[in-house]
Amino acid sequence: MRATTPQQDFIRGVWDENPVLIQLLGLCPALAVTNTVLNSLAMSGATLFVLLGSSLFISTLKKVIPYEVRISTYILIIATFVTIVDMALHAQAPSVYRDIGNFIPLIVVNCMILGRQEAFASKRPVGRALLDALGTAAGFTIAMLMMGTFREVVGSGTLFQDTRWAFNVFGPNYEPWVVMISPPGGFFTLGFILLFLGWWETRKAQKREIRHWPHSVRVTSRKEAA
Amino acid sequence: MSDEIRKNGVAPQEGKEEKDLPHREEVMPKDHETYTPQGGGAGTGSGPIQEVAAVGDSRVESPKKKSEAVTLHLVGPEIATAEAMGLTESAEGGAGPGAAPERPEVSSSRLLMTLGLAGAIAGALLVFVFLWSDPLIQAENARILRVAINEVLKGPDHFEKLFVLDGELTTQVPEGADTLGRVFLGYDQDGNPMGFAVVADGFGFQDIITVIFGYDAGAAQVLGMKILNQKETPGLGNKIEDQPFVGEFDGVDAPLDGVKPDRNTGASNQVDMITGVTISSKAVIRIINERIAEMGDLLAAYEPSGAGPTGATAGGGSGGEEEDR
Repeated sequence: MRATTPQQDFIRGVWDENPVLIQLLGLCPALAVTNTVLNSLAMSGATLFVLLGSSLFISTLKKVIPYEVRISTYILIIATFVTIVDMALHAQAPSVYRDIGNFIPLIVVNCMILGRQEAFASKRPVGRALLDALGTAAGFTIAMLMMGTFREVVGSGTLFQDTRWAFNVFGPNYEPWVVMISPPGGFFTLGFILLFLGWWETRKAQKREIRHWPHSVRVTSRKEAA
Repeated sequence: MSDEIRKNGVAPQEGKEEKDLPHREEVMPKDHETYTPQGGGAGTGSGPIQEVAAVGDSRVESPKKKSEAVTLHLVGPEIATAEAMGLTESAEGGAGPGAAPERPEVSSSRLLMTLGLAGAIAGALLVFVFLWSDPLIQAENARILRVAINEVLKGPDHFEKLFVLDGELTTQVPEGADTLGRVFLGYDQDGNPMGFAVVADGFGFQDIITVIFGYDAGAAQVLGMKILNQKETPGLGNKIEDQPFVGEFDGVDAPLDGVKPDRNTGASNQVDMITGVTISSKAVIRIINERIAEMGDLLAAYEPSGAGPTGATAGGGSGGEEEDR
């Protein structure tokens, strides 16, 4: 196992291995509930709670859980936290729950969460596991907000809709791109974000690349080769 | 070069190409060479491990500091995925229960006990959360229903809950009896019945639409309508929730007749449908008509038991356990 510093454990999930933008995990919520900023934030909060809770428990109990039943135990722990968050959200924020309630139980099968447990929390000390959970949740939140902000601004012409800070971005005469708040809009948005990130990474790679003789032959980056 | 290999899926080309173009070896980074065979379609389950190992090797070998950093970054997800799938654990050989290469046999009773115990603890925890959240959820649902009844009956002073039982309306339900449904009878301040609030649902364009409507059984007139739940297309179908359409239902004679706005002759049973939202509009009208056809006689036959505020006042309705979704 590669040795890592606490900072690396945190920052890895935030950007370098961002669960949605780089690993392409947890796409179901990223596509389904990012039609407003508020919904994106609520889903991110729910995921943060589940990640932190299950990482804490699984990391603490890693010596107790037998290898053979570890996946079932992890799922059980994750499902418990998801059910708690489901009930709590329903009780505390019924209007948000109306919008995203159907997708809360699906956090159980979010491979981002099970992946962190299996790959990290089950092998590391509690503190590191919590840091990793925080970083992953932060990365998830960043991706969700990127999508949520774009889709809400373009698809509804508003920002922070359903909150007290709601305002019209383009004024009252804006005709919203309704498609952006419907499911296809989620795919479009994610596609364009990934396209942009890919282009950006490639450009960065090209700037660094060392030119050999003959200069006409370009060193292809790994991404291009793949 | 590697694009071609990928497309053709033929690994041996690699050797040929290298022979043909000897200078390639200099140009290509070292890691590229180790990478291509995998692209040639080895196609075994152990692929990710090999790949990760190859990347690790190349990182050590690579003399170019800068391109090394790029490579590392670009393969990030591959490492992460392999890690997530639990494939790299043995290669990395870390501590912990999952990573030990030779595990002692664990008795099945211990496995059962672990899972059983975990399940029991989780269950107990959820009971407490449920006990806390359920009253709040029920109260919220009751509040939503109360607001809806208030809206469709245009502000009753109070209302009472009636159950449909054996083809009759009754305020009391015998223990264990199956009720077919509920309606709410609203009274004005003087205790005169104002109309029934009836919940109905049926298929819309995408999913089931649930509406509540006020109905004056004596005059066979719809008093008002409100959508309780719908999943119609955002921006189109969900206009059925908005005021211009909802307002169409105030004081319309049953059975309703949905018409296009420019064909409205002013008859008392006509409801303007929304242009471009014909299916959802028709669905709402159909749902209401069907429920009136089903229950109209029953509601008309009901004699209010008395003017007394036996039912819930505006602050009551505590028993309204109507699901809101």
